[in-house]
Amino acid sequence: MVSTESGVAAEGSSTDALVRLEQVTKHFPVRSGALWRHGSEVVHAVDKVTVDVMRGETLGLVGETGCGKSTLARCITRLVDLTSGTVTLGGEDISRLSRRRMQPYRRRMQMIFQDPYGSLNPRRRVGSIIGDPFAIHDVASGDERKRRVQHLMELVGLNPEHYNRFPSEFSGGQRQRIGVARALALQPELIVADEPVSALDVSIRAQVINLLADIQDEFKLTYVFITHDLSVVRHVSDRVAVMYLGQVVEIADRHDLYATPRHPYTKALQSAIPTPDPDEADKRRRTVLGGDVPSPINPPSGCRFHPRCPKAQERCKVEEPALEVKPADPAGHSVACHFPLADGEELSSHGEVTVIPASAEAGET
Amino acid sequence: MTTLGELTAESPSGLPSVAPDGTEPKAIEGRGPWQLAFERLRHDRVAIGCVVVIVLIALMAVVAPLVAHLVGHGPDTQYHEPGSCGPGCTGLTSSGIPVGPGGHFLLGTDELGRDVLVRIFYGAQVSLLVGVVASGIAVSVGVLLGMIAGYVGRAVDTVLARFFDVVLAMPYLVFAIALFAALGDRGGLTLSIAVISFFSFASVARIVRGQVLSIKEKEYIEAARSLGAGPLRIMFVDILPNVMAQVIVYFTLLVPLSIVFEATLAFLGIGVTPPTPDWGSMLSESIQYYQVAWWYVVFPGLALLLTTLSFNLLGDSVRDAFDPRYNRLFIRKRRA
Repeated sequence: MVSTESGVAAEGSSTDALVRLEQVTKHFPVRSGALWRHGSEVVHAVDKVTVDVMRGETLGLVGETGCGKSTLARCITRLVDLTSGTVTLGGEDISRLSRRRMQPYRRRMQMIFQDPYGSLNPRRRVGSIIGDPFAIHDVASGDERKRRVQHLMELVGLNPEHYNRFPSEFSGGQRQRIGVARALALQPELIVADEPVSALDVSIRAQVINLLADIQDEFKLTYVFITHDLSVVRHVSDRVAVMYLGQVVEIADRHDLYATPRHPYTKALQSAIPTPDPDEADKRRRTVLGGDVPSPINPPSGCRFHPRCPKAQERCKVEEPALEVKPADPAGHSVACHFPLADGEELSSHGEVTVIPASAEAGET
Repeated sequence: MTTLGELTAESPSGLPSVAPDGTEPKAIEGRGPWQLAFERLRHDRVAIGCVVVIVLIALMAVVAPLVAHLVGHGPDTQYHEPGSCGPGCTGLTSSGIPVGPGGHFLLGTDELGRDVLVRIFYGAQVSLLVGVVASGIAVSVGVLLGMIAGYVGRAVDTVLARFFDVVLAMPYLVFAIALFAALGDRGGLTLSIAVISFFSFASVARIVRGQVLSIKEKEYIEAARSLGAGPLRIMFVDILPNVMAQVIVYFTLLVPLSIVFEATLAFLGIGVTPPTPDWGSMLSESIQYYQVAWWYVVFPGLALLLTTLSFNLLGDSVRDAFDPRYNRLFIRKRRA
């Protein structure tokens, strides 16, 4: 089910990139004061992200809550305007286009949203929701639209007879299928999925993930798959980008990233993946990072991870590491770290927090 | 419907096209929020009663000429001469006092010897016209401006929201009196409707603006934008259906307010021009005669009271019907 050409996609030349993000930055101004808006503080939601998404691949985007994953997704789909940087789709810069000139590009990329309850208009019927793309882009109307909508419903595993129902009459998983059908309507090349399964019941997740994989094969789709669930991203992605505080700290082929993580943050994230086998879990050691994610209003100097990094040194506080391929790694594996981990290296504890065997916190993730 | 069947038959997902219990699949009918609200309203006795009263009042307005014809008294005809309305019949006693309810005048006469019953029937026309038209204009303008303010935001919102506040802060009666004084009698009913709409739209606009502010942050609005929907489409296709319930409730509550507003204006002697039968102006004139002609005060007052009460209670019921939390209370009550 997971694409087998993952290595091919990762090693493809840069000309094969469907989407290129260059130095993408999004800052949100912070408003303070009841009467007058003062203060020039900004939230550095996404900071200088440069990533290529290859045609036909699934790029997983992982990171903690608040690290800028969703904002990055909205930068790609132009739901927010970039502060600086460029986004190109199929070689054309779309980052400064007006809404009207953006219209043809909207057909080429679609989004699947996180909340299956919030992303469907409760006052509109399913047929009208899925038919929306046809109406907006004037593709089909009347019986033709209905026929196409019912075909889409069938494609995503919904009963086409439920055309006239309201979203409230569907379960969470079914609603997410409605969202998938709506995203597929215009046969896009790129689908940006913003935590598409996070709000779903665990038993439903696999169904929706399999559906996404099936339609990827069928329509040759390219995915940007955002999630904070590492086991999901490992399952669906060809390449994985790890984000921390608005920046990509490591990007690699899925196998490389899980086998030889180079960034201490990636390593710490991985140690947090729960293991279903209790014997295995006993053997594992969890790395618990000290402290909290710093405020994105005043991100730390130098490497943004340095206050929590067990390997941090003076250099990390002053010099911002570039995202680059280290000599020991294959071409597709880039990391932004001055002191990347060697193969099999374990992280030492940080601060007063000691390494806790995973069994001690079996209930936690 | 054949295509439907075909599609289902070749569905790869193997979803059953018939309900599990083997019943007719069409029995599962999608019930929208509107249908649910209507269903609840149908079971609400107060609401049904109010609808009946409102329909009766609307009928009064419609059949007013017929009643005038049957009774044989015109709405503006003054029967102050003895015998003017038939042998031994008069609209005013010899001392010039209105005649009470009786054989010729079922609800008595007024100070000019006109038939109160006929005038009340005709008055329903003015009240309903003003109530519905003024509320309609107020709601339309309010929804439009409220949506623009809420959706567009920024400077537009600041300007519009302050404008709503200014309108709400105006002493509307003083303003209306001054306006009519400046324009003289030229305005009439149209000016009344304009004034009532102007002073009513701002509260609707504020409610709609608040709703839109919260709705526009919903993910489905973001989804619409990512599909390429323009601001007009988002406002009218995606946001409007979500504020309609509140708008309809507000409309039903605005109708009695407008009727009372119109009656107030008429009571103060502005708006409707004198010979036109109107509940407000009838009340205004009857005040001088309440000691000798109670019917002149009571019947127009009763008509006004019944109308506004019905609309108000109906408005409450409509609000309850659209409230999903009310549903549970309601079902519990019915089962008990």
